[in-house]
Amino acid sequence: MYKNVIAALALALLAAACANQDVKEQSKAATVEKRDLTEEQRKRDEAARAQIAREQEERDRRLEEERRKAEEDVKIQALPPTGMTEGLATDLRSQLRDPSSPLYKRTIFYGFDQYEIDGDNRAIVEAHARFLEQNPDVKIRVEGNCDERGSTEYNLALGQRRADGVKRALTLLGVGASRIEAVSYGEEKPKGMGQDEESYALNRRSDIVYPGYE
Amino acid sequence: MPEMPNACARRTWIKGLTAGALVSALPAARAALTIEIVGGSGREIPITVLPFGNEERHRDRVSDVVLTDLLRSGLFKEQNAGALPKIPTEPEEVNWVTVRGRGVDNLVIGNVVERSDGRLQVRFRLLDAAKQAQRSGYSYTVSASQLRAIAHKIADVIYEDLTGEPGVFSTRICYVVKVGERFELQVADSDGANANFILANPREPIISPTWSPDGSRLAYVSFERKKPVVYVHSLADGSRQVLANFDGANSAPAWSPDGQRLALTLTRDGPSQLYSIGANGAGLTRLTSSSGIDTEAAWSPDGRSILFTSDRGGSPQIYRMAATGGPAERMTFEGTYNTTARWSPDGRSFCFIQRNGGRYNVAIQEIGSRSAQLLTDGRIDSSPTFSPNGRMILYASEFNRRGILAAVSRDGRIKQRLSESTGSVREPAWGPLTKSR
Repeated sequence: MYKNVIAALALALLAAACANQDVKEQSKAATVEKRDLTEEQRKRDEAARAQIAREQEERDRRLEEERRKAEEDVKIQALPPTGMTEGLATDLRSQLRDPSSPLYKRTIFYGFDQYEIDGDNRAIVEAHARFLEQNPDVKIRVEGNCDERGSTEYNLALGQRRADGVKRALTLLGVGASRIEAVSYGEEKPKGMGQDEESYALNRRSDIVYPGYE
Repeated sequence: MPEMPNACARRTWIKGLTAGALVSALPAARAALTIEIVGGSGREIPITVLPFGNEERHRDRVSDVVLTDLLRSGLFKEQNAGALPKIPTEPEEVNWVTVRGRGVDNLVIGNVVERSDGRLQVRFRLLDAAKQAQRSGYSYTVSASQLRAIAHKIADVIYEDLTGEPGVFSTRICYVVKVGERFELQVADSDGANANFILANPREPIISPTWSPDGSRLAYVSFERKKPVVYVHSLADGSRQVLANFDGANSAPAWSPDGQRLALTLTRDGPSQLYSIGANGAGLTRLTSSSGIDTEAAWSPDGRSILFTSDRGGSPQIYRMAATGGPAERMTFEGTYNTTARWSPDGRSFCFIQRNGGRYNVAIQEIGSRSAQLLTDGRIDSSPTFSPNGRMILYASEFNRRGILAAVSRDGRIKQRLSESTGSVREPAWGPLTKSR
């Protein structure tokens, strides 16, 4: 009984204390809420602006996509590097696809264990050198390849020698060396899958690659 | 005991003998390499392996794995003891009169005992039936998952006791599997079981994997950054680091025998040349300065010299130089295409690839000799690698127009084919002898 009285008293005191605190909390909350409203408004405005920007972006993207589709370009391409106009990039893309363009041929073929660029292959290299000279912001990769016969690692070195040969020829024609990355895939990326000379001839090659444009 | 064909038969399908064991042992399931022996030594050691007591309660039957290992080496032939009234598992249970009457010379018996703590005690003895005496015998206490590994260990002990050279049944191999455009670097037991991939590239090639001398790491070349870069990959935790990513190509890693350095091929200064670098990527040193291609370094077992491929003389040939670089001595003189030299573990000879008419085959040559012996006759054989006991050479070949692995003994007499059920297998490397696994 005595215990219960004490407990009731304690509860009453506690309630009073809480009530007291509630008031303080409320007033604190009121000031906080006020600040929140300004913040909310700012956020709302910001969200609205972002939404408009997104919609704008989305419209631009759709337009760009439609324009590309109209050009029958199925691939979504990287943006042109700084300094290169979108018009020029589009032009390069269509040149790479156009069989009558001097840039259409981008593969140099070799005899077995050979890495010299001869005859018709010279004309291919020269055409690309001319284009690169006129378009100093375009960078390329030259990928050297081999047929499957012989050592994996010796073929890798041979593919590198082929790619380096094309790079050297381009630099002699005035293209800056830093614009050309020469890499070798050795015998790992064949185009001809057969085990005959016809396939092997397809695989002894250097490919000039315009990353982002083809 | 399944009825075993005579190992002298030129074509013995090992998989057929233990299909259950090979297939069921692969829950994590890369496709198994299956092994076919296509030749024999001509003077095989007779061996009789009786079923071990209680082994049938476990997925891997110890006696099957042991016998399959021994026959796969090409150095043994099974001597079937026929039906016995009671299969002995301890020496005192052997009826010597009966056993000798069946023509048994070397007899393997054993048992698998389950202990109260759930572990297994595997005991085996190799007995000389003529002398009615034990040649060797051991007891191992293992968990059930280690039964197959212990069976390989037992085969190693028997092999060494009867041939005098270490067995390699407990070693591992690695190789690259190409399926479509996907490349996977896989590690498997030397019998092709327990294959697991440690790296998979959806499109970009992986080449030239090679084991660190302690078997804990692999160095390899991966093209995942659109160019050849050398990585060192730790097998224990799967972590890896770039060892060499210099301008141009980074390739052909080769460990020094102490595991401290690697020789490799770089094009950072122009043509493909040899360099050495610390296993931690520090301390790059140039080893060769030629105008041609220098590549495919192989460090000698004593650490003093390096064999490599160079076309400085107009065609690719094998050369030797000091491990610190300097002048090189031409080693091969036959033909116009000799590449991919690998030292035998005793350092007395090397194997390599030689163009042989229109074919590319594995050849072997003694150090100090100028003539080579051709060991294989495939259309395009490549990437030879010695077993750590020097007995066999594993290499990449083709069968039915698919890349497969094959092995040939150093004397050319024993030939094996290993194939995977899917994809093309290439670029094998045989791991080192493991201490105690």
